[in-house]
This record gives sequence, structure tokens and C-alpha cells, in this order.
Amino acid sequence: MSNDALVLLALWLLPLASAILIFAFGPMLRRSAGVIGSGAVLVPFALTWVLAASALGTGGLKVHLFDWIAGFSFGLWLDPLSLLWTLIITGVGGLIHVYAIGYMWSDRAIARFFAYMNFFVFAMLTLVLSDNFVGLLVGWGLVGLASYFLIGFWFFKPSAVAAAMKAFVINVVGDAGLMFAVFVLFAATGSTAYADVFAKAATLAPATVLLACIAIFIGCAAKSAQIPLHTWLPDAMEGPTPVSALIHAATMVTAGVYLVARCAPLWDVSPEARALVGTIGALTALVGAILGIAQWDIKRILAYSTMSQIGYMIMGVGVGAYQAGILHFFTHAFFKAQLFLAAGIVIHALHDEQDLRKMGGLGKKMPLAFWAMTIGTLAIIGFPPFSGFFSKDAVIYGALERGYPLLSLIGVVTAGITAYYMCRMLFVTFLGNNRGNVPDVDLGIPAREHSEPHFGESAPAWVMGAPVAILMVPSVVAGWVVFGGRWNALFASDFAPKPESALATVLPEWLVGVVVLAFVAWGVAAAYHRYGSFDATVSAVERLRAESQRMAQPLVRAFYFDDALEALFVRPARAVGSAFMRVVDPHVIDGVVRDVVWLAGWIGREVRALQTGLVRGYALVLALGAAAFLAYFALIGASR
Amino acid sequence: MPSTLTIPWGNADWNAILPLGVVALTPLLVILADLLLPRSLRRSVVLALAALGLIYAGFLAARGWGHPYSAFGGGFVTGGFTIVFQEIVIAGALFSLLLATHLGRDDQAGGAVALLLWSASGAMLMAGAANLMTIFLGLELLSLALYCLCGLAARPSAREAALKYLILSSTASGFMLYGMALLFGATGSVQLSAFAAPAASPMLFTLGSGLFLIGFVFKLSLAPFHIWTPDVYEGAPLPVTAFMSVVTKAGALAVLARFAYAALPQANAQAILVPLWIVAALSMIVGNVGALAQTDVKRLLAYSGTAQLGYVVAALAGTTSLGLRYAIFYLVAYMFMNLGAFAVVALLSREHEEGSHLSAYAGLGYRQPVLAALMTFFLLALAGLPPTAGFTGKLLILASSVDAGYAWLAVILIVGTAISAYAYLKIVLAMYARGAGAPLQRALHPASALPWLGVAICAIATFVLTFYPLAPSDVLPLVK
Amino acid sequence: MNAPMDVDVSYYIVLSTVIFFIGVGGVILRRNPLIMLMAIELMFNAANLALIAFARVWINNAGQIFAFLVITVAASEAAIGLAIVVVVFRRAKNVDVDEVAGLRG
Repeated sequence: MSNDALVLLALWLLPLASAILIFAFGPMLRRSAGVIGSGAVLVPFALTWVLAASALGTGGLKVHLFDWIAGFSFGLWLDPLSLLWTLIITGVGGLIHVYAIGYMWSDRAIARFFAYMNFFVFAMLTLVLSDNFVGLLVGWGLVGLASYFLIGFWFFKPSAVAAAMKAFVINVVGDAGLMFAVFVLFAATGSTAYADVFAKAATLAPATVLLACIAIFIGCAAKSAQIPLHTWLPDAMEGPTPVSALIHAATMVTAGVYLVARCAPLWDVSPEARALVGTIGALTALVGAILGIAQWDIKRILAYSTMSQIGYMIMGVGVGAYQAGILHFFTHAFFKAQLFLAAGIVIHALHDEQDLRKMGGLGKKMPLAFWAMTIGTLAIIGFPPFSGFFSKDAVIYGALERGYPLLSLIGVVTAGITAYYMCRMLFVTFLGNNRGNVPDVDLGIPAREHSEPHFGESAPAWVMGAPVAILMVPSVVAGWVVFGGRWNALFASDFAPKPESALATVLPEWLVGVVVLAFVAWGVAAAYHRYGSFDATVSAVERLRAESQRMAQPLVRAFYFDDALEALFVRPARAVGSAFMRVVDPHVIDGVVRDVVWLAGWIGREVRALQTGLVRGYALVLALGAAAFLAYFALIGASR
Repeated sequence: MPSTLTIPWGNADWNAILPLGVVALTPLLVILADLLLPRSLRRSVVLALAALGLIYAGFLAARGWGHPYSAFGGGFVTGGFTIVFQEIVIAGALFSLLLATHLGRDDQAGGAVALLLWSASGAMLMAGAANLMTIFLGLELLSLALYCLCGLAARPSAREAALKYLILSSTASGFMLYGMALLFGATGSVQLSAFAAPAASPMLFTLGSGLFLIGFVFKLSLAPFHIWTPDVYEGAPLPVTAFMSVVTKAGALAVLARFAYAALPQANAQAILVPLWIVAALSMIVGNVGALAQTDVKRLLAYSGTAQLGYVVAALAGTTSLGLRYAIFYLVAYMFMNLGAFAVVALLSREHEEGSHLSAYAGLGYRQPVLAALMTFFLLALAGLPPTAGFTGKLLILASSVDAGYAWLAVILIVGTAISAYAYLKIVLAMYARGAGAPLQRALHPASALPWLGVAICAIATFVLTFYPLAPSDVLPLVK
Repeated sequence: MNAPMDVDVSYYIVLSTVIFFIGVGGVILRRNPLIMLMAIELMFNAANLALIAFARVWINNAGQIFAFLVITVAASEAAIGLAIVVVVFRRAKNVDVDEVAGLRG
């Protein structure tokens, strides 16, 4: 093995080794687990740079690990695409780890937390670095498992357990889809290695490719929270804030974007798949943004914004504007991590208060959080010259260029809505007077349980401050990579060149940019008028109460996605649940029954009811089965 | 009419059944030891003797690898296929012995172990049986001993299990036997090898095949013939349940595979087997859905077994040679992950109470972290998640069933897998949930060193098999 | 050999089929486990009858040997079956399988 190969192997396995180490020696390590855990992610980040040159060379860096059975060999592959993801996972992920040392400072289970986090990073690296579909599938499954552990980390909160279950369930649906895709491709091409499959992509039957693409996309939709499999994402905010940042910014939810980009050769030969994925991406962007308007929980707003931004990325890679979609992933990783970490500082300082209505006027008290949030907001709404401006523009224009003007239009409208709800969050949180002491009733907040504030000493402020401060820089400048066309050139080997479209010649890119900006400006102005202006801040309490009480129902209920799933699957299942409620831990029941999309719950009861315990009944079932058998055999016997 | 009586058997005939003979004769030593030894020594000596007998038989069987031979006028064939299944039976029986640290009272141990070995010898006979008589003999030997074993625990539910198993299984045997009679009538021969020729009466042949298959589908507990399984598994003593979940299945699968691959006339073989794929599909759904609602781990594993055997049979769809290899691989994987889970249940058991109720698992993750982690691993394996042998096995089965043109089975397999994740996860959640209901502070059974050994071996095997899907490649030519 | 073929073999087969289904019906319909065991014996013996009849058709005595084998096995099955029934119903006044339904679900 060459030196490069060893380095790649080391950077892949280091987080796993650290996870095992921390898990084994957790009680002894306590807070130093955080240092080890962060190191185990930041060192691979440095190592990745070492490999950058060879990854960018022809064909990337390939390491063959072992042959499994004929047609299944496992290896690692670092090419420009996986290089980018590895850098973000380890870089942004590493900063989030450092931040988490401060955030989890007084949590007794800090060691377990870092073990999970490192395991998560390892799973994500497996997903990204694998050179074949089986490795991808393994990583894909492990990521889901790790997220389940992390979202449910505070297992004493029933809502956290329920949210973890929901995330896991939806992920399993996605895994099943992806597994099916892998094996359709295997059946069609006889291999699971990317290289082999993609080489044969053009020769496959269109129907096979479409089937594979749809199945792959079911996996992507579940992982990347695309409609209608998005409902787990907002609930997943029950985990500690660093987890939200890690899942949303750097890793898990962008796996779908990675996979679509990775499978570009498949999408290139299936226009139907392309239209489907692009459309779902655009719709997700729109729905996520609209739902973001109606939220009061700061983390849920960010969750919906993630969903919406991932929608942009999926739309980008879906329509074939791969570079644009990936660019949006690149910039989003920075500003979304920053937004989450800044929100985490606020939440931490307010003892786990997440409701915007109880905030207000925090700008002066927490200047770092305020500025971080402001820069993050400017970046996410696409304000020039912040990073999001370039990437969002690229996606919208990319869709236009490739002949999907309607999707572009949705993108433009969404940009306006994004500006509105993000500024709403910013203004309500940081401007005006603090409403922390205003009674809940006055703010229109329905009766609720307060989570217990956790006491204990705090970490030095810089532990949480430094990562936020560092992230400010790329949040501003990351988009500048587009200058000089270097970004597109970087991935030239991965993706086919873009086609010329008639529309693109009529509408130059700068014009589209101006239109987008107009919508953004409208969104900012509207938000300022409602929440940021002097009038609005003076009468904030009354306005917020009025808004809370008059919120449009479809928005509050998140367009009834959960209700639909509930009515279709969950309610029937609940009946079963109550039967063993007394036996099992009620938390578990909540998790398993109430919130789980439990397809077959009621059938479970039916099957059980057959089991009456009576011997004769069983004998009857036997005889009926035998009769069915005999009928069939008599039929085929007679037909000969 | 032969005028002089000559013994038609050569030495090779005896050699072919030698492993089987060792397993069938060891019980005599076991019973003798049980009779002569003081009570304090009995259980350990008896277990050791039985284990030695099984290991020796395993060694003898392995020696026959690469020497296919048809003994007793074609009644029993040995060679690759037979040996693989015999080794699976032996391994399954050995693991069950590891769990047998409290099977029955001390003064029952000898008898129980003897019955277990006789039952295993029946399964070993089925593994190599190539005519209807030996198949019937093997099946009954396996079953009769099991009826007794089921009733061994000193509680009403065990006796109930024995009665239910006796009546239902005998009924299934009756169906099968009548099927055998019809097959004989249709072809004029009891040899499986004679069936491949076009039958004199196709109607009799197909009806006979149908009835014959029912007997084995029942033993494999495929839906809807699984209906006895949960009750019997729950009631029977734990080691017996573990034994049934592997050894019975291996024996029945051997016969089924031999019948499907080697005994059917080419013309309508696939048509005759269609019901088999349908019950496999039903099992994947019914087994996994049934498992969802269970609160007793043994019951849950019963339903899970139905689903798992559904996967195994699905691998045979289309009767491709690859399919048979993958079915065997999955059976081996199933043996390890399933017996691993049973071994954990054994570790949680006490003298008069088996640790199979879900409440025994509440908070286990905090009281016995290692055990809980291993149990989680086995459950993930059963659910088919990586990195476990269950995952590899399922992937292979998916590949083979699509290859053979049975994509619909693959789809159902995926759906079933997705459902099963919740059933298994319920136990995992119970183990790691903290809070309501003070967890029962129960210590592990003092005599629990043996199940630990089982847990360890199963865990290692389940993990290692993920990466080395050993499917014996020269199995197929030896089926006939 | 010129054994008299007074009765056509198909009658034996029909008879055995009837016996077989009487056995199946007995298992499903009767509540007394002893009668259920008897019904199972009927199924076995129906098979025996068919085996012997077919042996006659094919002039192949494997069928007859098989029938002996079945008789032997059925005897041991009956012995074990009776033992289990006795154990289960030792304390009960009536012998009724419907009473034995503690395991369910």
C-alpha cells in the first residue's frame, strides 16, 4: 500500500478507533473524552488536505481493501466529490465537536456523547469514501443508527425518544429503498462497484435505470428529509444542539445530495428520474420555507430552513446542475453550522429556552451570537456577497439552463420566503426588549411543560465561541470559489458538460440574480416591517400574542403531513399499543406506537387474534392451509 | 425369490451412517452415566458425554467430505449436501446443550439429553434421506423425541405445549404420509431419484407432492402452517425451543431442498413448487407482523423464526444452484444469530423462571452492558442490518431470487425486513430505556458459564460470517 | 402368480381417501385429545391402506415394507401421545383440549 493509501485508511478509521476507546474508557475520561473526540475528527481533517493533490489527479485515489465474494469487493475512493464531503464532514464536524465540549460540559454522559459523535463521523465517512454500493449501504445504515442514538441521547425526555424512533423508522424506509436499488443495479450489471455500474449505465434498459433511480431517491428522500419523508427532521431537534448542527449542516441530511451527485451517470440517462428529483427538491424547498414562517421554536425554524435548503441542493443535482447543487451544499455547511451553533449559545444561556417569544433584545447581551446569527442569516437568504448568494443563484440559474424554468421560478419565490422567515427569527430573537419575564399567557404561548434547566459549572466561553467565530469567515467567503470558473473545473471529470438551453441565452445569469435579489429584498422588508421596526418592537408582546393565536392552521399543523400519516397508519396501531402499555416502559410505547409510522400495526393485532390458543382452531387452520395446497395441486395435476 | 440369504450391505453402507450411529448410540452411555453417578455429578458428566459424542460425530461426518456414496440401496446418500446439513444439526444440538444447564430437574437431565440426541439423530437421518421411508423414519424420530422434550419443564404451559405439538405435528405427519403413499402410487417407487421420470399418473403425483410438502412446510413453520409455533416455543423449555428453532428446521429444509432440486420431473417442477414460494412470502409478512405485538422474547423469536425460514425458502425460488448455496448460508447465519439470542435468554433465566418476558430486559443496558450490547447485536443481525451475517445473507438471497426471476419475492423480503426492524427494536429499546417501572434487579444465573460460551461463539460467528459468506460450492452435484 | 383380482384397486384408494378425510375431520371436530389421537391413527392407517394397494398395483413390495414401518412408528407415537395426554389431564375431571389454552396471542 502506498503512503497515500495508508493515510486514507487512517483518516477513515481514526474516528471509529476513538469512538471505541471513549466508549470503553468513558467513565475515566469524562471531559477529556471531548478533547480526544475532537482530535479524532480534526486530525483526519488535516490528513485529508495531505491527500488533496492525489484526489484531484486523474481517477482520484483508490484503495482496494478486500474482496468479499465475486462481484463484491470493498475499497475506498477519494475523488473530488468525496474529497469535498470528507473535508466538510471532518472540518465543520470537528468544529462542532469542539463546540460540543462546551455545550455538554455539565452533562454526566459527556463521554458517551462523544463516542456516539465519533461513531457518527465514522459512519458518514464510510458512506462517502466507499467505492461501491455495498459500502455505501453499510455507511448509510450506520448513519441512521448513529443518528438514532444521538437524537435520543436525552432518553429521559419522552419526546426525544419518540423523535429518535421516528427518525429511525423513516430512515429504515429509506434504507430499504436504497437496498432495493443496489440490488436492481447488481442484477442488471453484475457488480456493485461504482465504476462498473456507471460504465454500463448507458447500456441499461431505460426502465431499469428509472427503477433504480426512483429506489435510490427513496433512500435520498428519507435521509435528506424530502417530501413526504421529511417529518422526522423537525422532531429530530430534540437532540442536543451540537447534534442538530452535525446532522443538519455537515453530514447526514446531505447524504442524499451526495448520492444523487455520485450516481450522476444514472441520472444522465434517465430524463424522467431527473424531472422527478428536481421537482421534489423544488417542492421541498418551497414547503420547508412556508412551514418555517409558522414556527416559534428557534431550532425548528432552523430545521425547516435546512429542509428547504436541502431542497435547493436536491433540485440542483436533480436537474443536472451538479456543480451548483454541490456548491450550495458547500456553502450551506458553513452557514447552517454557524446558525445552529449560535442558536445553541442562545439556548444554553437561557437554560434550554427555545421559544422565540420568550427571547427578544438579546443582541446587546450576546454580541457574538447576534453577529454570528446575522452573518448566517445574510448568507442563507442569499445576500451578496455572502456565500449563499452565489450558490443559490447557481442552483436557480442551473435549473433554468437545463430547461426547467418552472423549478427556477419556485426557487426564486422560495428565496423571498426564506428571507422573510429567517429575518423574522433574527429580529424577534435579538431586537426589541427582552421578554423572558413576560408570562407565557401574555405571549399567547399555550400551557406547556418547562424542561428542567441543568445546573452546573460552565465551560470557558471561548470553547463555544471560537468555533462560531471561525465559521463566520467561510460563511462569508465560501461562495467566492466560483470566480474564475475553478469550481466547475474541479468536478469536470465527474459530470457531463451542461447542455445549451434556449432560455439561458435569453435570460443572462445577472438578470436572474437581480430578480432573486428583488424577492429577497421584499422578504427582508416585510420581516422588518412586521418584526424589526421600532413600532413592531415596542408593541412586540401584543403582536406576538395576536400572531400566536391567529396562526393559520395548515401552517401550524405542518400541512397535515404528520396527521395524514397518523390517520393512515398510527391510529390503528395505537390500539395494539395500549394492550402492552402496562408491561413495557411507557416511554418505549410512546416511541414505538404513538409516533411511529407503523405500517402493519393493526394487522399485527389481527394476526395475534388468530392465535386463540385452541388446539382445534389451529388444526382447522392447518386443514384450511392444506385444502388450499390441495386445490392448487389438483388444478395443476388436472391441467397436464 | 432369493434362495439364499445374503447380507446386502457392505462396510461402506455402515460407514455412511456412522456419524448418525454415534449420535444415536451416545444416549445409551448418557443414560448409563445418569444411572450410576451421584446426583451432584450427573448433569455435568451427562452434558460432557453428549457433547463429546456430538463432536465425534461431527468429526466423522466431516471425514466423508468429498466421498459421495449412496448407501442401503439408495435409501441414504452421503456427500457434500448431507454433510453440510448434518454439521448444522450437530452444531445446533451442541449449542442447545450449552443452554441446558437447567433443563428439567437434575434427575431428569440424563433422559432429557438422551432424547435431545435421539431427536438430533433423526434430523441427521433426514439430512441424507433419499427415499420416502428414510425420510419418514427420520422425521418421526425427530418428532417423537421432541414431543417428550416439550413437556419437560415443571409448569402447565410446558405440558400444554407438548400436547399441542403432539396433535398438530402428528396431523401434519399424517398429511405428509398420505402424500408419500400417493407419490408411491404415482411412480411405483419410494426412491426420490425415481420421481424425475414422468409419472404414470400426473394427478396422483401432484396431489402427493402437495401433501408431502405440507408436512415439511409445517416443520419449517411457514405461514399459515406456523400457527403452532409461538405456543410451543413459549411453553417448551428454553434449550428445547432453541433446539427446535434450528435442528428441526435444518432437517426439514434438507428434505425439502432434496425434493425440490432432485426429485421433481423437469416438466412441471416449478409449477409444483409455486405454493412453496407463496408460503415463504406469507411467512415473511406474517412472521414479522406477528412479532410486532409480542411481549415474550421466546414467542417473538418463534414468529421471527417463521419469517427467517421464509427468507431461507425464498432463496430456493427457481431452484438455482446459487439459491441453494445462499439458503444454506442463511440457515447457518440464522443458526448463530438465533441461538445467540436464545443464549442471552438463558443467561437471564433462573431456576423456575425463564428470562423471556420483556420485563426481564427493562434497563438491561445499564445492569449488564455487555450482555445487552450482544443481544442488540443479535437482534440487529436478525433484522438484517450491517455489519452482521444476517445482512450479508439477505443481500445474497435478494440477489439470487431476482436472478431466478422472482423479483416479487425480493420485494416482499424487503417489506418484511422493514417491518421486522420494529419488532426487534422493541427489545433493544426496552433494554436501553430508563425510567418507569423499577427494573427487576436480577443477578445472572450462577451456572451460567456455558451459555456465555454460546453467546460468545455466536457473536463472533455472526460478525465474521458477514465478510466471509462461506457457501459450500460443491453442494449441488451431490444432491441427487 | 395368478392371485385373484376380485376387487379393483381403485376401490381401495377411494376407501383409503374416505378414511383419511374422516381422520382429518376427527382432528378438527373432536374435543377429546384421545379421540384426536385416534383420528390421527386413522390418517396413518389410510396411508397404510393406500401403500399396500399401490404395492399390489406396481408389484413392488416396498409399499408393504413401508406400511410395516408406519405401523411401528404409529405404535410408538400412540404410546407417547397417551403419556402426554395423561400428564396434561392428570388433575382434570374432563378430558377436553379446549381447556388447554393457556398459551395464546
